[in-house]
Amino acid sequence: MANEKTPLRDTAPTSPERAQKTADRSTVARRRIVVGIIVALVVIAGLWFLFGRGEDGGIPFISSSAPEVPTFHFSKAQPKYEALQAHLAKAKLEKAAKHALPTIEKSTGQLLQAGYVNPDGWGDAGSINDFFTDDAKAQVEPNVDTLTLGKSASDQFDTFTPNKKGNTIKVTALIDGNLNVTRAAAEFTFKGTAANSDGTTKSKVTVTGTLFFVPDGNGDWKIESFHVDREEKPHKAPSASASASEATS
Amino acid sequence: MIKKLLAVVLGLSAWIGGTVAGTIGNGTAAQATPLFKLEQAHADFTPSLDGTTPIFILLMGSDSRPGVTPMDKGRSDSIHILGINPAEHRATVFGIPRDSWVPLATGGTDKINAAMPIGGPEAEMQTVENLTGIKFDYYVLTGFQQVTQAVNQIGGLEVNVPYSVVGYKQTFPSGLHRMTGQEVLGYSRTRHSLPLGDFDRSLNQGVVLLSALTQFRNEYAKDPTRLYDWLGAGLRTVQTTVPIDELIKLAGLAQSIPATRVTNLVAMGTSAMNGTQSIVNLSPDNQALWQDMAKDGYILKNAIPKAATPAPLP
Repeated sequence: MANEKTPLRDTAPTSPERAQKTADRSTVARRRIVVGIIVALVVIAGLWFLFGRGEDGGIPFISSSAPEVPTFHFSKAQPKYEALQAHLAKAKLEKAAKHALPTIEKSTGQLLQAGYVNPDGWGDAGSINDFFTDDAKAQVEPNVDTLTLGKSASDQFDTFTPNKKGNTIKVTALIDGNLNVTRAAAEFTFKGTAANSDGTTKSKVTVTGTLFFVPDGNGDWKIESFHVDREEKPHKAPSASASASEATS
Repeated sequence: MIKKLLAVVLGLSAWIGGTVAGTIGNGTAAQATPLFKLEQAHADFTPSLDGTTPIFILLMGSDSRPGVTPMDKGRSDSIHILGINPAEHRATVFGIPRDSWVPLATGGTDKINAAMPIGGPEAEMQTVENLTGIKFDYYVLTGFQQVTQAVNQIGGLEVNVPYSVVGYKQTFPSGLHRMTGQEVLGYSRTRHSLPLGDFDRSLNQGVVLLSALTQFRNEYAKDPTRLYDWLGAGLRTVQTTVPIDELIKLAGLAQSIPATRVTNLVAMGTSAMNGTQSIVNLSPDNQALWQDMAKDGYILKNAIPKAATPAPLP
């Protein structure tokens, strides 16, 4: 009959030995799984204590295995200019100053990124030397404790997180009679939070200064003069729930 | 069964992990007091001229009127030799009275300020070189209107007036005064009320230069970007052979030369009449001072002879 269901297949009869063997295998498998999970937990806990102690929340060793260096941006003021020759058109001077702004902003940002945000640059004059003219390069090493987070920063801090707000830059261009920007000054304020390596406290860091740039003749700008100050203030450690947002406030 | 067991174990581990993390997190929050206090740091570098070779710049003030005579074709009514020793951080401003009767590089003998209308700033510089034996690296030329503009553009100049001066339009009492461009010009040009006339006027012009040095140093220390304001105000109003790179290094050098390390003096001489015109006969004793200055760029105050005090105008 077309609508007749296929009868269920009869289960094969099993011997008592076979049934016992199946039961034993099942028990062993369960034990192995439980032991495996316990071992895995022990390994996870071990790794956590080895690599993740002191970090706030999350699964630290996962994040520390691939650390990302944070970036930041400046809020810019309208560039200013100082003409070296009288009777130059204001609109052309403004245009020349505006043209120089992105390059100066970029170089300033890269210097601070290399010296402050990236832990590899802390206390390392070599990591920022290329930003300076030959004359100024000789002054980088003697001032490396301010131009970067400092030689002892690696002993004191684990990370540096730039603030998302409060970083400002004001550029003044020195413009010659041919409307070339011959020099540019960048006044900046740069803020961030350094996580102390004690794992419990943080430091608010504020870097302010003026960098004087000069074209190097190869389309790049170098720092010929600098005046930089850094202020560090111990910062109350954030509570666990607030830590994520406060670090970059 | 296995799935149930796994779920239980994972749940348990999550609970344990969360508890442990939570405990550590609470510990972090509890330690509100920082473990150490950090200090401020400062980095500073300004390119500067260095070396033991002195630098000489001839500072000239033209009497040209805008729209009448070009600045470099006027008479150089103000003449100062600026000598700088970068290594010793010393300088000297050596004034030469405009009425000094000297051989001109352009030929003949005349008042020293007469060389520029004939041969421009170069001829004036050559005349002073011939007179003093000092070889100049650069010159800076300005004028009445330009001085006024420059001072106004930097926001005025604080001049420490050593003694009360009655000017053409106003009196300048002794002491520190913030002057406008017009006031600085008036103070610098005043001659008739001064005891030693042209000699004192030249000295007062040196006082203005030293006041500018002091003010620039103070402003730069507070705000380095003021350098550009000064450079702009200066270069818009002067004619000079000093390149911008050198000017920036000179500005850097100025940071290490306070006004107390700058000697301000005027050439020795006597006032006389040549026909109807008032002239100055320079003393031969000036040669020793110029040789001293040519050697290292400066003259110490205690090296100036008492005879340097010039005679008053008749």
